[in-house]
Order: sequence, then C-alpha cells, then structure tokens
Amino acid sequence: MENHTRANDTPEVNFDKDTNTYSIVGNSYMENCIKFYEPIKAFIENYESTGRNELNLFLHFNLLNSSSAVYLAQVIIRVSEIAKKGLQVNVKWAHDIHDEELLELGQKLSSISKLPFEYLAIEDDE
Amino acid sequence: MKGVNYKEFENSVLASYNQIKDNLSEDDNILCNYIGKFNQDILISIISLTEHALVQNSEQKKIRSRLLYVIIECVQNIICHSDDLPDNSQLTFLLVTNNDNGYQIHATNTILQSKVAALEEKIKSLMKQNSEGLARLFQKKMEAPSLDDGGNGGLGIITIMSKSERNFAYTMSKLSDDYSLFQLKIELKYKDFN
Repeated sequence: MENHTRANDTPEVNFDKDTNTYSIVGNSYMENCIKFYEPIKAFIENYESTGRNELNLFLHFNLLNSSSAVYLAQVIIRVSEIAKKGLQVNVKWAHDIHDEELLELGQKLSSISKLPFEYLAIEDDE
Repeated sequence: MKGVNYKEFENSVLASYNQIKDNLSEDDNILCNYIGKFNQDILISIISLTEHALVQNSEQKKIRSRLLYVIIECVQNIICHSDDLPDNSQLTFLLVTNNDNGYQIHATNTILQSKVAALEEKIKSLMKQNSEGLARLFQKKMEAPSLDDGGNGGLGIITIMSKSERNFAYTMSKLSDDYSLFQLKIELKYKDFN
C-alpha cells in the first residue's frame, strides 16, 4: 500500500517517491488491524524490487491500540530485514511531547528490530 | 430463544449497571455512558466525545491519552470477545466517571459459561505480574505474536492492566445457565501521574 487517506481510526499513509519517504501519520485503532497493516508489510517486502537504495520511514501516531502495535512491530521487523541486505534505512518516530508511552513504544520497536530510531517530540495540536 | 430468557438477562445486566450508578457519589461526574451493542463506529464516536470533554475540562494531555487508550482497549475487547446471545443481540455497557481521585472505567462483556474458567485463569495469571512483568509480556507478544485469536494480538487485557498501573479489578456474575457477565473496573489515579 503506497497511499491511504486518514480517517478517525486509521492513519494517513503516503509514499513520496522523490524523497523515498514512507510516512504513516494519525490514529491507529481500527477494528481489523491485519487488513490495514498487511498491505503495508507487503509494500515493505516488495521495496527491494523497486531498485531504490534508500527508505526513510516517518511514523507519527496519536492514539494507537495494542493490535496496531503488534502489526507495526511486524512491519518494522521487515524493514530491519531489508536494511541488513544493504538498504539504507532511516526511521523517524514522532510523538506528542506529553505522551511518554508512545516514546516507549518507539523505543521497544527500535529494540526489537535493532534499528536506530530518531525521536521527535512534538507539541501536537489540541 | 433457546436456553436464554432475554428479559431476565436484560434485567440482570441493567441491575449491574444501576448498581454502579446508584453507588456514585455527588463528587462523581459521568464522563461517558453507553449501554447496548458496541461496534467500531460507536467506539469512534465515544473517543471523539470523550476527547472533547477532556479538552473542555482542561485535563492534562498525558492523562487524556491514557484514558482514551484504556477506553479503546475496553471497547475493542467487548467488540471482539463479547458473546452475542443466540438472537445476535448484545447488551453490554461502558461507564466512565471522574472525581477528585481520577477516572473510573466500568466495562462489561457477556461471555459463554464454557469460556469463563479459561478467561479467569488467564486474568489471575496476569494479575500476579508486576509492571515490569506486564511490560515484558507485551514486548514478547510484539516480537512473536500469536495470530490465532482473530488477529487481535491478545494484548488488550495486558494493556489495560499496564496503563491503569494495575488498578484493575473484575467480577464474574452468572446471568443464566449459558452466560456470565464479565465486569471490569479500572481506575486511573491522579497520584500515579505525579
């Protein structure tokens, strides 16, 4: 999945081909996480076949349910697998400055995948 | 409806709901109150309305987020795991209140008697965990999810316990020969955020 429009319970997904930036931004507490995250996982798994040598991942969640965390972990693990094969990967994890739990989730994902994350503490709008 | 007298069932659920409401004091404010059948659209509405009320009340952002996370997990637990009656009806409730000590969340599931023992065993096992133990279990499930439970990851109860600093209690009441009412009481205490 290259693009998806944001909804109340699903994030916006966008791939910027000029900058090789894949961003997932918004709430993620949909009922069927597998249906949403499987195409994202497939996009990552097929990324090598595009011939691109860089992937910039920008992740900025607001509300995120536990099922989304599980599927997101599977996506990040796939990213780390292609990074091991030589793809240059940069991960930016943005979170509300007051939301320590989202920061901790980013740290967990970084630890599980062994990918270094850059953390951006942002003052989200009300 | 085979094996279920719906009126008796309804009265039992309403009695549980009324008991909680009757025990509220003058200092308790009801923030969110829903009774009936839940679905994802209703959850989105609940989150939107509750978030609006929390902003209006100038609640701290970290408490707002924590409360909304817990409500999401409670309602999705109802949607995914509550057993419908044989006529596909569902009668469960969510009640969120606030007082000087913090927030209280009451959520119920109707479950088949055949599932009660396994659920209680699972919850009792989780209740023995401290905060670090719950965090370890969460991470373990992220690393190696079991996808045999409808893709839900099985993290709901762990997340609720963890985000409430283990201020988590449950009761199981028999509604009929076939069904029980699984009732959660979760507290988010202001003192835990200082």
